[in-house]
Amino acid sequence: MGARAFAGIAVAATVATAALPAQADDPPRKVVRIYDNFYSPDEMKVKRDTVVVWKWPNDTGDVHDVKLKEKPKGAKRFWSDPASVGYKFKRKLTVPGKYHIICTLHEEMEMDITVRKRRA
Amino acid sequence: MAVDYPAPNDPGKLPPRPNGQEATLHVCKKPRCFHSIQEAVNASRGGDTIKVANGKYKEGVQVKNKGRRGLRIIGNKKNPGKVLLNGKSLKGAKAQNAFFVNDVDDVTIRGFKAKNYKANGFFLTKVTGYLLKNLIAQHTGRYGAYAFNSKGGTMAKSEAYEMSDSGFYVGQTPPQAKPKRTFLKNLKSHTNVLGYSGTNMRYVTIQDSQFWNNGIGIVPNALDSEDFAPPEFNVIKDNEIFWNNFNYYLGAPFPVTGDETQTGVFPFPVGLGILLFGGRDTLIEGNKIYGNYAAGFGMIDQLALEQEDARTVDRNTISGNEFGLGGMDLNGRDIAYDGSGSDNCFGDNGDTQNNLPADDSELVACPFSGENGVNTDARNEMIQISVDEDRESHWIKHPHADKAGYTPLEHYGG
Repeated sequence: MGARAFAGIAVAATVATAALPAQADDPPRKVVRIYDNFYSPDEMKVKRDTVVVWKWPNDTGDVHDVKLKEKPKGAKRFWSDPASVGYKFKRKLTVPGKYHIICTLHEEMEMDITVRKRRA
Repeated sequence: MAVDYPAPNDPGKLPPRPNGQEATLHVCKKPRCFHSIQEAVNASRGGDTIKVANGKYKEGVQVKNKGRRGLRIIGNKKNPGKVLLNGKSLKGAKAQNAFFVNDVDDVTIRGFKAKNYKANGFFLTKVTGYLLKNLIAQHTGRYGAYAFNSKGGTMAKSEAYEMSDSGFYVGQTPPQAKPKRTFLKNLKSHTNVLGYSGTNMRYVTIQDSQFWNNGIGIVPNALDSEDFAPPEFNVIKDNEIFWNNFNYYLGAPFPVTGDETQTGVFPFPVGLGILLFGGRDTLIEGNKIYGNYAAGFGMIDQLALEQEDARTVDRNTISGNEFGLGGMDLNGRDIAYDGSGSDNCFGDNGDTQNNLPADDSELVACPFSGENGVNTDARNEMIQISVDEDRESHWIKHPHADKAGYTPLEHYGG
């Protein structure tokens, strides 16, 4: 397949995706980018039932993970696989309170998420 | 892709085998075999052996659960290339590590080749004891074999190349009252940013190995990004460390943006055999160090470390090494040391040439106690070698000696 044809298909797919109506009951999503050696943002406040997506870079980067170190009572623990590039990890945060996230491979790398009581 | 991943404090329990015996599980294409390594691992118990037949496997194997202590995963020990794990078309977590062992002690992995993973070839974290032997890692992301936050273990008879960080890595070793040493021996590491790197490593012996055609051969280093700085109680002996002049900044078989190729705030220099970037109680002896254009051996404190009490280089002994292959393959400078730290000494390293500083005033004989005394000009020149974007401008090139089966690599043309 030639590059021009491939580009045409890609554009068509993009338009089709963009044309999809948003689902009214989709939970909101927040993205956290993973860099060497920090999460961005490293602090956020979200509504209950928000899906937080951690995204690793696509080009290069060191190995990092996402581990829930401290959590509100009743929240499920989570811990991503260690990854370097081209990876994402998501969790829906359903319990209000403070979540402290760390990278187990880089002690300086941490972030906090506050989940509000109000549902999204 | 999100993957459930049990927390280490709650790994679940493995039921014991009914007869209490250790089992041998087979991975092959025959009907009675497991058809993937992961399936066999999932069915395994502590002390079991998994034998993996020659073939190509597309998976990222994860070994979790303390109940699998002592598990042995064995491919082809004589010809590891015949048991190939290829991560090329894998997605999600499986694409990251060929083998990932988390919190399972005394696991053995032998006789595999890993290729085309995004993070690591063979990755172990939070383990006590391991054996990685007869392995090949090619183009597996950051590290070929990587042991993190672990106590004791062995990496042996293995090869790693085309890593965007280091071929072999042992880091964040917890301090121990009765240390379990880690041994790296009979390794081959080439065509990487670093042949070996160890951030805050301790009780590690690197011996009888070859490091060539990397940006730097061996780099024990102190960094704030990991616990337990600085590196200490390490031994680097009887290695061959040569031709580490691979200027990957100008092109490499792995992605390089520049940001990742740095130690703290300093970019990695290129053209060094061994660099001690912070560290205590290191013994460097009996190594053959030649053909490295910036310097054969360099030592400087980690001046950018936030943890001030772990910055210095202290009580390091550099003794009985041979520089320059008897004049046949000279280093640009044999020894570059700015005199930082205390109780560092040099003994019986033969006739060294073109050292930094040039008057050899920092090469005090062993034993020595007291502050070595910083030479500011040498210090500034060492920093300049690291930070200057025209890295090769600090090289002092000499012709290499012929070495059968080896070709010097300075600029990647592949």
